[in-house]
Amino acid sequence: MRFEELSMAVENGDAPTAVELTQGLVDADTDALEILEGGLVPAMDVIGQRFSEGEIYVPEMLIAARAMKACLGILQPLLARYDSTKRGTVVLGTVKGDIHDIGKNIVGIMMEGSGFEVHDLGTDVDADRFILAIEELQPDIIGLSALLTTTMPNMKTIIEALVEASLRDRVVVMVGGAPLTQEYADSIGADAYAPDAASATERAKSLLGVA
Amino acid sequence: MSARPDDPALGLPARREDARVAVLVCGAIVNEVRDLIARRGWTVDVHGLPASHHLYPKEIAPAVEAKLGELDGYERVVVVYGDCGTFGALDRVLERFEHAVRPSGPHCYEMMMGAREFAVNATRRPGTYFLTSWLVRNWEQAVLKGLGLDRYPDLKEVYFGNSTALVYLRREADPRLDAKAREIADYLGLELEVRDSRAGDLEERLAALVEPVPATSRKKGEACASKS
Repeated sequence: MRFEELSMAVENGDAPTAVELTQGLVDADTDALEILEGGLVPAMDVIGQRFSEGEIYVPEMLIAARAMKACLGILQPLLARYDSTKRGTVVLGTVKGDIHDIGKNIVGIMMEGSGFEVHDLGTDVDADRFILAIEELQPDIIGLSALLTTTMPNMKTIIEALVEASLRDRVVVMVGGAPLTQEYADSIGADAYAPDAASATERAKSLLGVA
Repeated sequence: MSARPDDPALGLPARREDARVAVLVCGAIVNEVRDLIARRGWTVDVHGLPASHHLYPKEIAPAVEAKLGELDGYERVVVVYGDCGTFGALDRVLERFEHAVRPSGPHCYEMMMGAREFAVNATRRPGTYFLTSWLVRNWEQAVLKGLGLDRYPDLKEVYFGNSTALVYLRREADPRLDAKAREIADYLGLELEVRDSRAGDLEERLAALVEPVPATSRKKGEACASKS
């Protein structure tokens, strides 16, 4: 019942209530992983679905994601002991020349909520920074985001730089953003394309065989 | 002559007997387009679509398609839109209408600022947020309400946190709008930079499509790069 209430609070973007319920569950010794999988993940699944179907729009998606993130802040220290539950490491960034990050941030929150370790490089990220992050963090996946047709080609630049640095085979490259298509992803040599945050998370699980 | 961009009557002008060209213009730039039609003395019919489609860009291509279906009898219909976040959907619609073309460009900011300057600015200041006269006039409806900031004011940082510059592409000096633009700058916490763009590159791009009207329609794509 408390999980349902928590899901509802997240779906409604009611961060104070969601945080209070999460803290209450933690204080009552409810397992953090159960809270995540029973309360938070189902909520974001619903939100992702409703967004895809045009029932809700960006503001509602954003406040739900914000509530989710606030709850994750409580759970993450507790989840750290579940090393075996970590589904993989993801490095995210909006490509060079592009400062749009709303979609990327939602992907990050949903991936964290699904058990991935997420490192967000922010916006306007060039190939060198991705290369450094790959060398330092050894991610399984890098996720490249772009909102502008003018910055999409920078995804290809980054992929070519990974090839040049002999890193291409060490990571799965996922791409996303409003102007992108599967055809474009194929044409630049990306491994996967996701049209929205919910499918990005599912695609990542599937690519790493952790679905 | 001024027009309210979302006035339904905007789309229903009297048909001029001598007009062989129509312009189908987004309400967000209808005043700029009317200015230059008057300045250049073009004999065209003006039809409009609500600027509010920009809040949900998926609506633009279907709305243009429906309107083009109504505009029979013109040798050419110049659709005054950029790609406008349709990511090619608008161009695919135009491909289906032999007489329809649009000026090249991704959006009105690029058209009004000018292609070269816009490209330089995008490289140097990718965090630039643009205002137009329409956007200043309709700030509450288009931005505050459209982005849900009236309901969730604290999302401001989410939407504008990465903005580092504010450029107002002004149609003309207007004390009321200038004051409002300064208020918007204060709200965003950015310094206001005003450029008197009028119609910018849009004027020459439209001129290439509107004048002179050939005896037979030009081949698709001529004088127009409809794929941005």
